[in-house]
Amino acid sequence: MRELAEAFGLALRMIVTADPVVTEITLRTLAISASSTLIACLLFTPLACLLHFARFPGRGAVISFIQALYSMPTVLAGLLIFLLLSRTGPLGSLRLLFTSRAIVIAEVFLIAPVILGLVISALKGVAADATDTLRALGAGRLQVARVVLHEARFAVLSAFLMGFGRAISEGGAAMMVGGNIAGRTRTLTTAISLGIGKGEVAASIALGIVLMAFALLVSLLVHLTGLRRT
Amino acid sequence: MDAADGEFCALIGPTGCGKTTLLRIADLLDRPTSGRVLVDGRDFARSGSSERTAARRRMSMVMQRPFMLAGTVGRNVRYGLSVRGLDTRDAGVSAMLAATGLEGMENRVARTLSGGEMQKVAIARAVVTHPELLLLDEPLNSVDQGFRPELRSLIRGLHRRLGMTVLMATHDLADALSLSTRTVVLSGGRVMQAGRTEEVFSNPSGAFVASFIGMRNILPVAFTGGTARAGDLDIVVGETRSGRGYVSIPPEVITLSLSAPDSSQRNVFPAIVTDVEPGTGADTVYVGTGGWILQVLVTRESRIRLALEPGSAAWISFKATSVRILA
Repeated sequence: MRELAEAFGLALRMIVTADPVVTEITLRTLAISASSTLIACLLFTPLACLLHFARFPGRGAVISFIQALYSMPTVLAGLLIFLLLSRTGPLGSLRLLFTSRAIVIAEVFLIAPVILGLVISALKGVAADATDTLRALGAGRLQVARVVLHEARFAVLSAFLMGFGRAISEGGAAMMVGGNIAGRTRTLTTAISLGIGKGEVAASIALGIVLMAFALLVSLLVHLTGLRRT
Repeated sequence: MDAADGEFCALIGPTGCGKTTLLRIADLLDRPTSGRVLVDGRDFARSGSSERTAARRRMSMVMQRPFMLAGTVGRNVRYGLSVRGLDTRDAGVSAMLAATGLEGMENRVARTLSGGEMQKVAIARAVVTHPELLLLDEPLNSVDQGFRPELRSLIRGLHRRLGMTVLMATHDLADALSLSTRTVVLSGGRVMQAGRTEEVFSNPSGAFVASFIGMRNILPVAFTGGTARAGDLDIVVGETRSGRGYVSIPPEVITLSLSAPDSSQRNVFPAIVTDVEPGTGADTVYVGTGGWILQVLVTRESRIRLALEPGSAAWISFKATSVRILA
C-alpha cells in the first residue's frame, strides 16, 4: 500500500511538473485522436445524411449493421488495418505501418460506425414534420439536409465527442499498427500497457490520470450538449 | 374531382379517409402507389427528386402542425424565397407580415410564439412566394377555438387578395362552409360527392355524405308511390318515387306531443321516449318508433312542461315535405 501511495505521489508530481515524457505522449495522443475524429466527421457525416434521407431496399438492415459495429473489438480493427498496411498488403507500398498515420487510419476505421450511427440517430431525432415542411416550402435535398443538420447540431456534436472519446481511449489497434515506438507512436493507452509490463507504476498512473481526465472531460461535454439540446 | 383556377376547394371526410394523403401526393411529397400526378400535363408520379422539387416550388403547403425554423419570424417567412433564390429583402415580405397580423413581430423568436401565431407564420411563409396552388392541411386544427374565426378571416382575405387556387383538408364542417366555394367529400380514399359547397351541404348525394355533414335521422327506405317504407314505418314523402334509397328527417321539423295531434301533418306516429340529452340551446329527445330511434329537438321549457323522461309515451309528427330524400 505504501508503495502504491508513493507511486501516486510521484505520478501527481510528474503531471504538475509537466514531465517531458508524459507531456510528449499526451500531445501525440491528442493530435492522433483529434485528427482521426476530424477525418471521420468529414467523411461520415455526409454519408450519415445520405443514409438518413435516402430510401432504398435494405436501408434498415444497413443502419442496424452500422449500429452493431459500435462494439467492434479494437484488436479486430487493428488486425484489419495491419493486414491492409503490411508490406504484403494492398497498401504496403505506402509504408505507413508503425507510424502515427497508421494509428489515425485505424482509429478512423474504429470510430466510423460510432459517428455514422449516432449522426443518423441525431438526424432521426429531428421531427419528421421538419423535413416535410422544408420540402413543402420548396427546399431541395441539400437545403433540407443543411437545415436538419442545424436542427440536430447539439446531438451531432455529441456524436463527434463520443467518437473522440472512443478514439482516445482505444489501445489495441494503436499497439498493433503503431508498434508503441518511443517518441514516434507511443500513445497514452499503449504507454500504460508497456509501463505496467515494465513495472513503471508511477508513470503508468500519471498517464492513466491524464487519460481519465480526458474521458471525464468528454463525458462532461456530452452532458452539456445534451442540456443545450433540451 | 377538379377545381377551377382561383377556386377554394375543401376536402372533407372522416379521419383516415385520405385527405392528407391526397394533399401530399398533390404536393409531390409522396408518390402514389398507382396512377399519375399531372402538373401542366406532365406526369410527376415517377420523376426524379430535382424535377419534383422544381414543380413543388410552384406550390406551397401548410402542415397540420406548424414547424418553426430556428430563428426569427422574419427568417421563417423569408425561407421559401431564399430556397428559390429570390430576393429576401423584397418589400413583399413586410407586406405579408402586415397582411397576416405579424407586423412588428419580425424579430421575435418564432418558437416562442403561441400556436395560433405560429400558424399565422406558417401561412405567411407559404403564401409569400405567391404559389399557384396553396395546400392547407387542417390549418385550424392546432389552434384554440377562440382564435379560429380570426384565422379563417385571414385565410379568406389572403385568398381574395392573391387569387391562388386553394385545396384545404379539414374535418371541421364550419371551416368548409365558411371558406370554400367547392367541397369534395372523401371516404376510404374515394370521392363520395363533389360540387359547389352549398349544393353538397343542402343536397347530399347519399347516406354517408348526409351523415357526415351532420344530417340526422337517416333511414334506409323502399319507395312505393308517395310513401317511403322503413321497417314498420310508412313515411309519407313529398314526391313520388320507386326503388330503394335513404331519407332524412331533420330533428327540428319533428313535433313531439303527449297525444295524437289534430293537424295537417301527414306523418303521425306513436313513440316512446328512450333518452334525453340536455343541450346548450335545445334538448335532444331520443324516441323509439316503428323499430327506429329518432332524434327530436325540443326546448327545455317544452320538455319540462311535457314531463318527457325515458319511458314516457308520446306522439311524433312531421310534414311530408320536410322529409329530405337522399340520392
